Amino acid sequence: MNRPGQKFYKILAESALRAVRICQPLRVPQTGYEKWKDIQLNFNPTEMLKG
Amino acid sequence: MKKIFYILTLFLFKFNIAYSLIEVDITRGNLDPLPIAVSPLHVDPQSNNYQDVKTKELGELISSIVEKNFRSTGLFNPLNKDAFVQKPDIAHLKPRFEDWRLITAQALVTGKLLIKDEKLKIEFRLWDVAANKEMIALAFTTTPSNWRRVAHIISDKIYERLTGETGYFDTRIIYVSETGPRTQRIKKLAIMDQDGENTKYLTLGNELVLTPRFNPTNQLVTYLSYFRNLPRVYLLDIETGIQEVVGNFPGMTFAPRFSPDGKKIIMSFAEDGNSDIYTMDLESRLVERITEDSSIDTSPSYSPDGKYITFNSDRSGLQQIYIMKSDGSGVKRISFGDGLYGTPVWSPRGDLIAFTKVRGGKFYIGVMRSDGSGERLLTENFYQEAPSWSPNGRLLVFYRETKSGKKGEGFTARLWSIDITGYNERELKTETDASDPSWSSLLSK
Repeated sequence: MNRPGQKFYKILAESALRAVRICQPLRVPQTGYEKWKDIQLNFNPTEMLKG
Repeated sequence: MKKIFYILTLFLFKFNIAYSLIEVDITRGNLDPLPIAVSPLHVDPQSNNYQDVKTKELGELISSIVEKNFRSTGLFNPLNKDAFVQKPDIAHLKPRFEDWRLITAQALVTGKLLIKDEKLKIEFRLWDVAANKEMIALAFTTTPSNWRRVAHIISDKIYERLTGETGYFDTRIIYVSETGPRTQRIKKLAIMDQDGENTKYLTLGNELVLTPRFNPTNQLVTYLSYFRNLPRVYLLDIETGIQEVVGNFPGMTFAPRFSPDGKKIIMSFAEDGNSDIYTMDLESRLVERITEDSSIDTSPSYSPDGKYITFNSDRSGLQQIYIMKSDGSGVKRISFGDGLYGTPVWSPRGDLIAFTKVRGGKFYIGVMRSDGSGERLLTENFYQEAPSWSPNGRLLVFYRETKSGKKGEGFTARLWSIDITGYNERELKTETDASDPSWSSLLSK
Protein backbone atom coordinates (compact mmCIF):
# COMPACT_ATOMS: atom_id res chain seq x y z
CA MET A 1 0.00 0.00 0.00
CA ASN A 2 2.77 2.42 0.90
CA ARG A 3 6.08 2.09 -0.92
CA PRO A 4 9.16 4.28 -0.56
CA GLY A 5 8.41 7.65 -2.12
CA GLN A 6 4.71 7.59 -1.34
CA LYS A 7 3.37 10.39 0.81
CA PHE A 8 2.98 8.60 4.11
CA TYR A 9 5.79 6.04 3.72
CA LYS A 10 8.34 7.96 5.76
CA ILE A 11 5.84 8.72 8.53
CA LEU A 12 4.75 5.07 8.75
CA ALA A 13 8.31 3.78 8.68
CA GLU A 14 9.33 6.17 11.46
CA SER A 15 6.30 5.19 13.51
CA ALA A 16 7.11 1.49 13.12
CA LEU A 17 10.76 2.05 14.08
CA ARG A 18 9.64 4.06 17.11
CA ALA A 19 7.40 1.16 18.18
CA VAL A 20 10.25 -1.33 17.89
CA ARG A 21 12.63 0.89 19.85
CA ILE A 22 10.10 1.46 22.62
CA CYS A 23 9.61 -2.28 22.98
CA GLN A 24 13.28 -2.80 23.73
CA PRO A 25 14.75 -4.70 25.42
CA LEU A 26 13.05 -7.65 23.69
CA ARG A 27 12.99 -10.94 25.56
CA VAL A 28 14.64 -13.60 23.43
CA PRO A 29 15.49 -17.30 23.97
CA GLN A 30 18.82 -17.83 25.67
CA THR A 31 19.90 -20.39 23.12
CA GLY A 32 19.85 -20.68 19.36
CA TYR A 33 21.13 -17.20 18.63
CA GLU A 34 22.00 -18.27 15.08
CA LYS A 35 18.34 -19.09 14.44
CA TRP A 36 16.83 -15.85 15.63
CA LYS A 37 19.58 -13.31 15.04
CA ASP A 38 17.80 -12.06 11.91
CA ILE A 39 14.10 -11.32 12.31
CA GLN A 40 11.97 -9.61 9.68
CA LEU A 41 9.12 -7.48 11.05
CA ASN A 42 6.24 -6.93 8.62
CA PHE A 43 4.02 -4.02 9.62
CA ASN A 44 0.57 -4.18 8.08
CA PRO A 45 -2.02 -1.80 9.54
CA THR A 46 -4.95 -3.04 7.39
CA GLU A 47 -6.67 -4.78 10.27
CA MET A 48 -6.07 -1.84 12.55
CA LEU A 49 -8.01 0.46 10.26
CA LYS A 50 -11.08 -1.71 10.13
CA GLY A 51 -12.05 -0.73 13.66
CA MET B 1 -3.92 5.53 6.16
CA LYS B 2 -3.56 8.71 8.13
CA LYS B 3 -3.87 7.49 11.63
CA ILE B 4 -0.87 5.24 11.57
CA PHE B 5 1.45 7.69 13.16
CA TYR B 6 -0.12 6.75 16.48
CA ILE B 7 2.14 4.43 18.36
CA LEU B 8 2.13 0.93 17.04
CA THR B 9 2.69 -1.34 19.98
CA LEU B 10 3.72 -4.82 19.09
CA PHE B 11 1.30 -7.51 19.98
CA LEU B 12 -0.26 -10.39 18.07
CA PHE B 13 2.87 -12.05 16.84
CA LYS B 14 2.63 -14.61 14.07
CA PHE B 15 5.81 -16.53 13.48
CA ASN B 16 6.33 -17.77 9.95
CA ILE B 17 9.51 -19.73 9.78
CA ALA B 18 10.46 -19.56 6.13
CA TYR B 19 13.92 -20.60 5.17
CA SER B 20 16.13 -19.53 8.05
CA LEU B 21 14.59 -16.07 8.39
CA ILE B 22 12.02 -15.51 11.09
CA GLU B 23 9.21 -13.21 9.98
CA VAL B 24 6.88 -11.45 12.39
CA ASP B 25 3.65 -9.88 11.10
CA ILE B 26 2.42 -6.95 13.14
CA THR B 27 -1.15 -6.45 12.08
CA ARG B 28 -2.64 -4.52 14.97
CA GLY B 29 -1.64 -1.71 17.29
CA ASN B 30 -2.69 0.55 20.12
CA LEU B 31 -4.15 3.90 19.16
CA ASP B 32 -2.63 6.20 21.73
CA PRO B 33 -1.76 9.87 21.39
CA LEU B 34 1.97 10.41 20.87
CA PRO B 35 3.68 11.60 24.10
CA ILE B 36 5.51 14.80 23.22
CA ALA B 37 7.62 17.08 25.45
CA VAL B 38 7.49 20.76 24.50
CA SER B 39 10.37 22.44 26.30
CA PRO B 40 9.93 26.19 26.96
CA LEU B 41 11.95 28.17 24.43
CA HIS B 42 15.14 29.62 25.88
CA VAL B 43 15.04 33.43 25.93
CA ASP B 44 18.46 34.92 25.15
CA PRO B 45 19.37 37.18 28.14
CA GLN B 46 20.55 39.85 25.69
CA SER B 47 16.97 40.29 24.48
CA ASN B 48 15.46 43.78 24.62
CA ASN B 49 11.90 44.69 25.43
CA TYR B 50 9.62 45.50 22.55
CA GLN B 51 6.39 47.45 23.04
CA ASP B 52 4.02 45.37 25.16
CA VAL B 53 5.59 41.99 24.31
CA LYS B 54 6.54 40.21 27.54
CA THR B 55 10.03 39.24 26.44
CA LYS B 56 11.03 37.30 29.57
CA GLU B 57 7.92 35.11 29.46
CA LEU B 58 7.84 34.72 25.69
CA GLY B 59 9.57 31.32 25.68
CA GLU B 60 6.96 29.92 28.08
CA LEU B 61 4.07 31.59 26.24
CA ILE B 62 5.06 30.22 22.83
CA SER B 63 5.61 26.70 24.11
CA SER B 64 2.23 26.70 25.86
CA ILE B 65 0.48 27.74 22.62
CA VAL B 66 2.25 24.90 20.80
CA GLU B 67 1.21 22.51 23.57
CA LYS B 68 -2.41 23.66 23.49
CA ASN B 69 -2.53 23.23 19.70
CA PHE B 70 -1.18 19.70 19.99
CA ARG B 71 -3.54 18.73 22.78
CA SER B 72 -6.52 19.97 20.74
CA THR B 73 -5.75 17.49 17.93
CA GLY B 74 -6.31 14.44 20.12
CA LEU B 75 -3.27 12.92 18.36
CA PHE B 76 -0.61 14.13 20.79
CA ASN B 77 -0.20 14.01 24.53
CA PRO B 78 1.94 16.96 25.67
CA LEU B 79 3.80 15.94 28.83
CA ASN B 80 3.78 17.87 32.10
CA LYS B 81 6.65 20.37 32.21
CA ASP B 82 7.27 19.71 35.92
CA ALA B 83 8.87 16.42 34.94
CA PHE B 84 11.39 18.01 32.56
CA VAL B 85 14.94 17.60 33.83
CA GLN B 86 17.00 19.41 31.21
CA LYS B 87 17.27 23.19 30.95
CA PRO B 88 15.79 24.64 27.73
CA ASP B 89 19.08 26.07 26.39
CA ILE B 90 21.04 22.86 27.01
CA ALA B 91 18.27 20.62 25.61
CA HIS B 92 18.16 22.77 22.49
CA LEU B 93 21.89 22.21 21.84
CA LYS B 94 21.89 18.47 22.43
CA PRO B 95 19.17 16.69 24.40
CA ARG B 96 20.09 13.92 26.83
CA PHE B 97 17.70 11.51 25.14
CA GLU B 98 17.79 8.94 27.95
CA ASP B 99 16.39 11.56 30.35
CA TRP B 100 13.52 12.38 28.00
CA ARG B 101 12.83 8.67 27.44
CA LEU B 102 12.54 8.26 31.22
CA ILE B 103 9.49 10.55 31.24
CA THR B 104 8.09 8.53 28.25
CA ALA B 105 8.56 11.31 25.70
CA GLN B 106 8.77 10.05 22.12
CA ALA B 107 9.19 13.45 20.53
CA LEU B 108 10.79 16.59 21.95
CA VAL B 109 10.49 20.22 20.85
CA THR B 110 13.21 22.69 21.87
CA GLY B 111 13.97 26.24 20.80
CA LYS B 112 15.41 29.63 21.58
CA LEU B 113 14.57 33.24 20.83
CA LEU B 114 16.17 36.65 20.80
CA ILE B 115 14.54 40.08 20.50
CA LYS B 116 17.04 42.63 19.22
CA ASP B 117 16.83 45.68 16.92
CA GLU B 118 13.03 45.36 16.93
CA LYS B 119 13.26 41.88 15.39
CA LEU B 120 12.28 38.54 16.87
CA LYS B 121 14.71 35.78 15.93
CA ILE B 122 13.41 32.37 16.81
CA GLU B 123 14.57 28.84 16.09
CA PHE B 124 13.25 25.43 17.06
CA ARG B 125 14.11 21.77 16.67
CA LEU B 126 12.03 18.62 16.76
CA TRP B 127 13.79 15.50 18.05
CA ASP B 128 12.93 11.82 17.70
CA VAL B 129 13.68 10.70 21.27
CA ALA B 130 13.54 6.97 20.52
CA ALA B 131 15.97 7.27 17.58
CA ASN B 132 18.28 9.87 19.22
CA LYS B 133 18.08 12.18 16.23
CA GLU B 134 16.89 15.54 14.99
CA MET B 135 13.83 15.42 12.73
CA ILE B 136 13.54 19.06 11.70
CA ALA B 137 15.18 22.39 12.53
CA LEU B 138 13.91 25.79 11.40
CA ALA B 139 14.57 29.46 12.10
CA PHE B 140 12.43 32.57 11.51
CA THR B 141 12.96 36.31 11.81
CA THR B 142 9.89 38.50 12.15
CA THR B 143 8.50 41.48 13.98
CA PRO B 144 8.08 40.67 17.70
CA SER B 145 4.35 41.45 17.70
CA ASN B 146 3.91 38.41 15.42
CA TRP B 147 4.95 36.02 18.21
CA ARG B 148 1.55 34.33 18.43
CA ARG B 149 1.54 33.49 14.73
CA VAL B 150 5.09 32.18 15.03
CA ALA B 151 3.85 29.74 17.71
CA HIS B 152 1.14 28.53 15.31
CA ILE B 153 3.59 28.22 12.39
CA ILE B 154 5.95 26.15 14.59
CA SER B 155 2.97 23.94 15.54
CA ASP B 156 2.11 23.47 11.85
CA LYS B 157 5.69 22.49 10.93
CA ILE B 158 5.89 19.91 13.71
CA TYR B 159 2.41 18.54 12.96
CA GLU B 160 3.36 18.17 9.28
CA ARG B 161 6.65 16.44 10.11
CA LEU B 162 5.03 13.96 12.52
CA THR B 163 1.77 13.19 10.69
CA GLY B 164 2.61 13.74 7.01
CA GLU B 165 -0.46 15.98 6.73
CA THR B 166 -0.64 19.75 6.25
CA GLY B 167 -1.16 21.69 9.47
CA TYR B 168 -4.07 24.03 10.27
CA PHE B 169 -2.95 26.06 13.28
CA ASP B 170 -1.91 29.28 11.52
CA THR B 171 -5.50 29.95 10.48
CA ARG B 172 -8.50 32.03 11.50
CA ILE B 173 -12.19 31.33 11.90
CA ILE B 174 -14.89 33.82 10.96
CA TYR B 175 -18.30 33.41 12.56
CA VAL B 176 -21.49 35.17 13.56
CA SER B 177 -21.23 36.47 17.12
CA GLU B 178 -24.59 36.41 18.92
CA THR B 179 -25.60 38.38 22.02
CA GLY B 180 -28.85 39.39 23.72
CA PRO B 181 -32.08 37.50 24.42
CA ARG B 182 -33.18 34.92 21.90
CA THR B 183 -36.00 37.04 20.48
CA GLN B 184 -33.75 40.09 20.03
CA ARG B 185 -30.40 38.63 19.01
CA ILE B 186 -27.68 41.04 17.98
CA LYS B 187 -25.54 39.39 15.33
CA LYS B 188 -22.10 40.64 14.31
CA LEU B 189 -19.40 39.23 12.09
CA ALA B 190 -16.44 38.20 14.23
CA ILE B 191 -13.02 36.79 13.40
CA MET B 192 -10.57 35.00 15.70
CA ASP B 193 -7.45 32.84 15.56
CA GLN B 194 -8.34 29.13 15.41
CA ASP B 195 -7.42 28.80 19.11
CA GLY B 196 -9.99 31.43 20.13
CA GLU B 197 -7.53 34.33 20.64
CA ASN B 198 -7.48 37.77 18.98
CA THR B 199 -11.23 38.16 18.48
CA LYS B 200 -12.23 41.18 16.36
CA TYR B 201 -15.72 42.32 15.41
CA LEU B 202 -16.13 43.31 11.77
CA THR B 203 -19.68 44.68 11.77
CA LEU B 204 -21.59 46.78 14.29
CA GLY B 205 -24.65 44.58 14.76
CA ASN B 206 -27.19 46.99 13.24
CA GLU B 207 -28.13 44.48 10.56
CA LEU B 208 -28.56 40.74 10.74
CA VAL B 209 -25.59 38.84 9.26
CA LEU B 210 -25.36 35.16 8.26
CA THR B 211 -23.09 32.61 6.54
CA PRO B 212 -19.72 34.39 6.23
CA ARG B 213 -17.17 32.63 3.94
CA PHE B 214 -13.51 33.40 3.18
CA ASN B 215 -11.97 33.75 -0.25
CA PRO B 216 -8.76 31.74 -0.89
CA THR B 217 -6.46 34.61 0.13
CA ASN B 218 -8.42 35.16 3.40
CA GLN B 219 -8.62 38.85 2.52
CA LEU B 220 -12.26 38.98 1.43
CA VAL B 221 -15.38 37.62 3.06
CA THR B 222 -18.74 37.06 1.42
CA TYR B 223 -21.83 36.84 3.64
CA LEU B 224 -25.51 37.53 3.82
CA SER B 225 -26.88 40.74 5.28
CA TYR B 226 -29.90 42.96 4.75
CA PHE B 227 -30.13 45.84 2.30
CA ARG B 228 -33.43 47.78 2.21
CA ASN B 229 -35.01 44.91 4.18
CA LEU B 230 -33.98 42.32 1.58
CA PRO B 231 -31.40 39.64 2.26
CA ARG B 232 -28.44 40.28 -0.04
CA VAL B 233 -25.03 38.79 -0.60
CA TYR B 234 -22.28 41.16 0.54
CA LEU B 235 -18.55 41.35 0.06
CA LEU B 236 -16.26 42.69 2.80
CA ASP B 237 -12.56 43.49 2.66
CA ILE B 238 -11.25 42.51 6.11
CA GLU B 239 -8.31 44.93 6.10
CA THR B 240 -10.03 48.05 4.75
CA GLY B 241 -13.50 47.33 6.17
CA ILE B 242 -15.11 48.28 2.82
CA GLN B 243 -18.42 46.49 2.18
CA GLU B 244 -20.46 46.20 -1.01
CA VAL B 245 -23.58 44.44 -2.24
CA VAL B 246 -22.77 41.72 -4.78
CA GLY B 247 -24.57 42.15 -8.09
CA ASN B 248 -27.79 43.90 -8.98
CA PHE B 249 -30.38 41.18 -8.54
CA PRO B 250 -34.08 42.12 -8.46
CA GLY B 251 -34.74 39.97 -5.39
CA MET B 252 -33.05 38.20 -2.52
CA THR B 253 -29.64 36.54 -2.84
CA PHE B 254 -28.19 34.20 -0.21
CA ALA B 255 -25.91 31.21 0.56
CA PRO B 256 -22.75 32.69 -1.02
CA ARG B 257 -19.33 31.06 -1.40
CA PHE B 258 -16.21 31.84 -3.41
CA SER B 259 -14.98 29.69 -6.27
CA PRO B 260 -11.65 27.96 -5.41
CA ASP B 261 -9.70 30.52 -7.49
CA GLY B 262 -11.51 33.37 -5.71
CA LYS B 263 -12.65 34.95 -8.99
CA LYS B 264 -16.35 34.19 -8.70
CA ILE B 265 -19.05 34.13 -6.07
CA ILE B 266 -21.61 31.36 -6.29
CA MET B 267 -24.96 31.93 -4.55
CA SER B 268 -28.71 31.45 -4.65
CA PHE B 269 -31.11 33.98 -6.11
CA ALA B 270 -34.80 33.68 -5.23
CA GLU B 271 -37.66 35.02 -7.30
CA ASP B 272 -41.37 34.20 -6.94
CA GLY B 273 -40.74 31.38 -4.49
CA ASN B 274 -38.25 29.65 -6.76
CA SER B 275 -34.55 29.73 -6.02
CA ASP B 276 -31.75 28.85 -8.44
CA ILE B 277 -27.95 28.93 -8.37
CA TYR B 278 -26.02 31.76 -10.01
CA THR B 279 -22.40 32.83 -10.24
CA MET B 280 -20.98 36.31 -10.55
CA ASP B 281 -17.50 37.05 -11.85
CA LEU B 282 -16.02 39.61 -9.46
CA GLU B 283 -13.96 41.34 -12.13
CA SER B 284 -16.29 41.47 -15.13
CA ARG B 285 -19.43 41.44 -12.93
CA LEU B 286 -20.88 38.96 -15.42
CA VAL B 287 -23.75 36.94 -13.94
CA GLU B 288 -24.34 33.38 -15.06
CA ARG B 289 -27.33 31.20 -14.24
CA ILE B 290 -26.24 27.65 -13.33
CA THR B 291 -29.49 25.80 -12.44
CA GLU B 292 -32.92 26.26 -13.95
CA ASP B 293 -35.46 24.23 -12.06
CA SER B 294 -38.80 24.98 -10.45
CA SER B 295 -37.51 23.62 -7.12
CA ILE B 296 -35.44 25.28 -4.41
CA ASP B 297 -31.76 24.88 -5.33
CA THR B 298 -29.38 26.32 -2.76
CA SER B 299 -26.19 25.93 -0.64
CA PRO B 300 -23.78 25.59 -3.59
CA SER B 301 -20.14 24.63 -2.93
CA TYR B 302 -17.39 24.06 -5.52
CA SER B 303 -15.06 21.05 -5.64
CA PRO B 304 -11.46 22.18 -4.96
CA ASP B 305 -10.54 21.86 -8.67
CA GLY B 306 -13.52 24.08 -9.57
CA LYS B 307 -14.91 21.51 -12.04
CA TYR B 308 -17.97 20.45 -10.02
CA ILE B 309 -20.54 21.99 -7.71
CA THR B 310 -22.47 20.29 -4.92
CA PHE B 311 -25.77 21.80 -3.75
CA ASN B 312 -29.03 20.82 -2.11
CA SER B 313 -32.40 20.75 -3.84
CA ASP B 314 -35.95 19.57 -3.15
CA ARG B 315 -36.54 18.65 -6.82
CA SER B 316 -37.18 15.02 -5.84
CA GLY B 317 -39.73 16.09 -3.20
CA LEU B 318 -37.49 16.17 -0.14
CA GLN B 319 -34.28 18.11 0.32
CA GLN B 320 -31.31 16.04 -0.93
CA ILE B 321 -27.71 16.59 -2.03
CA TYR B 322 -26.76 16.77 -5.71
CA ILE B 323 -23.61 17.32 -7.72
CA MET B 324 -23.25 18.80 -11.21
CA LYS B 325 -20.54 20.09 -13.53
CA SER B 326 -19.65 23.73 -12.92
CA ASP B 327 -21.64 24.78 -16.03
CA GLY B 328 -24.79 23.22 -14.54
CA SER B 329 -24.85 20.10 -16.74
CA GLY B 330 -24.86 16.49 -15.57
CA VAL B 331 -26.95 16.96 -12.40
CA LYS B 332 -26.83 13.83 -10.25
CA ARG B 333 -28.41 13.10 -6.89
CA ILE B 334 -25.92 11.61 -4.41
CA SER B 335 -27.81 11.35 -1.07
CA PHE B 336 -30.38 8.58 -0.71
CA GLY B 337 -30.68 7.90 3.03
CA ASP B 338 -33.72 8.56 5.25
CA GLY B 339 -34.24 12.16 6.25
CA LEU B 340 -33.32 15.55 4.85
CA TYR B 341 -29.83 16.52 3.69
CA GLY B 342 -28.50 20.07 3.48
CA THR B 343 -25.51 22.46 3.59
CA PRO B 344 -23.17 20.23 1.52
CA VAL B 345 -19.57 21.44 1.49
CA TRP B 346 -16.74 19.93 -0.50
CA SER B 347 -13.58 18.94 1.37
CA PRO B 348 -10.39 20.82 0.39
CA ARG B 349 -8.89 17.36 -0.28
CA GLY B 350 -11.66 16.74 -2.82
CA ASP B 351 -12.64 13.29 -1.59
CA LEU B 352 -15.49 13.98 0.83
CA ILE B 353 -18.59 16.13 1.08
CA ALA B 354 -19.71 17.17 4.58
CA PHE B 355 -23.39 17.84 5.24
CA THR B 356 -26.11 18.38 7.83
CA LYS B 357 -28.77 15.69 8.03
CA VAL B 358 -32.12 15.89 9.80
CA ARG B 359 -33.81 12.63 10.74
CA GLY B 360 -36.35 11.83 13.43
CA GLY B 361 -36.08 15.30 14.96
CA LYS B 362 -32.29 14.99 15.43
CA PHE B 363 -29.52 16.85 13.62
CA TYR B 364 -26.42 15.06 12.38
CA ILE B 365 -23.14 16.27 10.90
CA GLY B 366 -21.80 13.68 8.48
CA VAL B 367 -19.56 13.03 5.50
CA MET B 368 -19.95 11.02 2.30
CA ARG B 369 -17.80 10.47 -0.76
CA SER B 370 -18.54 12.73 -3.71
CA ASP B 371 -20.30 9.83 -5.49
CA GLY B 372 -22.62 9.48 -2.47
CA SER B 373 -21.09 6.27 -1.14
CA GLY B 374 -19.63 5.73 2.34
CA GLU B 375 -22.01 7.97 4.30
CA ARG B 376 -20.84 8.34 7.91
CA LEU B 377 -22.66 10.35 10.58
CA LEU B 378 -20.05 11.86 12.92
CA THR B 379 -22.19 13.51 15.58
CA GLU B 380 -25.84 13.65 16.65
CA ASN B 381 -27.53 16.41 18.63
CA PHE B 382 -30.70 18.36 19.33
CA TYR B 383 -29.75 21.12 16.87
CA GLN B 384 -26.51 21.57 14.95
CA GLU B 385 -25.59 22.53 11.40
CA ALA B 386 -23.33 24.37 8.95
CA PRO B 387 -20.11 22.30 8.80
CA SER B 388 -16.97 24.00 7.48
CA TRP B 389 -13.67 22.21 6.71
CA SER B 390 -10.27 22.86 8.26
CA PRO B 391 -7.90 23.70 5.39
CA ASN B 392 -6.26 20.24 5.55
CA GLY B 393 -9.62 18.43 5.31
CA ARG B 394 -9.09 16.69 8.63
CA LEU B 395 -11.61 18.48 10.90
CA LEU B 396 -15.03 20.05 10.64
CA VAL B 397 -16.19 23.07 12.60
CA PHE B 398 -19.97 23.61 13.01
CA TYR B 399 -22.37 25.20 15.49
CA ARG B 400 -24.73 23.68 17.99
CA GLU B 401 -27.70 25.22 19.79
CA THR B 402 -29.21 24.04 23.07
CA LYS B 403 -32.88 23.57 23.78
CA SER B 404 -34.42 26.59 25.50
CA GLY B 405 -37.49 27.20 27.63
CA LYS B 406 -40.65 29.00 26.49
CA LYS B 407 -39.12 32.44 27.05
CA GLY B 408 -35.88 31.51 25.35
CA GLU B 409 -34.08 30.87 28.63
CA GLY B 410 -31.21 28.42 28.65
CA PHE B 411 -30.53 29.03 24.98
CA THR B 412 -26.90 28.89 23.81
CA ALA B 413 -25.19 28.66 20.43
CA ARG B 414 -21.56 27.52 20.40
CA LEU B 415 -18.92 26.39 17.92
CA TRP B 416 -17.73 22.79 17.99
CA SER B 417 -15.17 20.82 16.01
CA ILE B 418 -14.85 17.13 15.26
CA ASP B 419 -12.25 14.97 13.52
CA ILE B 420 -13.48 13.22 10.34
CA THR B 421 -12.86 9.92 12.11
CA GLY B 422 -15.69 10.92 14.50
CA TYR B 423 -13.28 11.29 17.42
CA ASN B 424 -12.15 14.34 19.37
CA GLU B 425 -15.34 16.38 19.46
CA ARG B 426 -14.66 19.62 21.32
CA GLU B 427 -16.11 23.06 21.93
CA LEU B 428 -14.21 26.07 20.56
CA LYS B 429 -13.73 28.99 22.88
CA THR B 430 -15.57 32.15 21.72
CA GLU B 431 -16.17 35.42 23.59
CA THR B 432 -19.92 35.34 22.88
CA ASP B 433 -22.43 32.84 21.58
CA ALA B 434 -21.51 31.91 18.02
CA SER B 435 -22.91 30.37 14.82
CA ASP B 436 -22.09 29.87 11.12
CA PRO B 437 -18.31 29.29 11.40
CA SER B 438 -16.04 29.32 8.37
CA TRP B 439 -12.40 28.20 8.53
CA SER B 440 -9.75 30.17 6.60
CA SER B 441 -6.98 28.58 4.57
CA LEU B 442 -3.42 28.67 5.98
CA LEU B 443 -2.34 32.29 6.41
CA SER B 444 1.29 31.54 5.48
CA LYS B 445 1.38 29.47 2.35
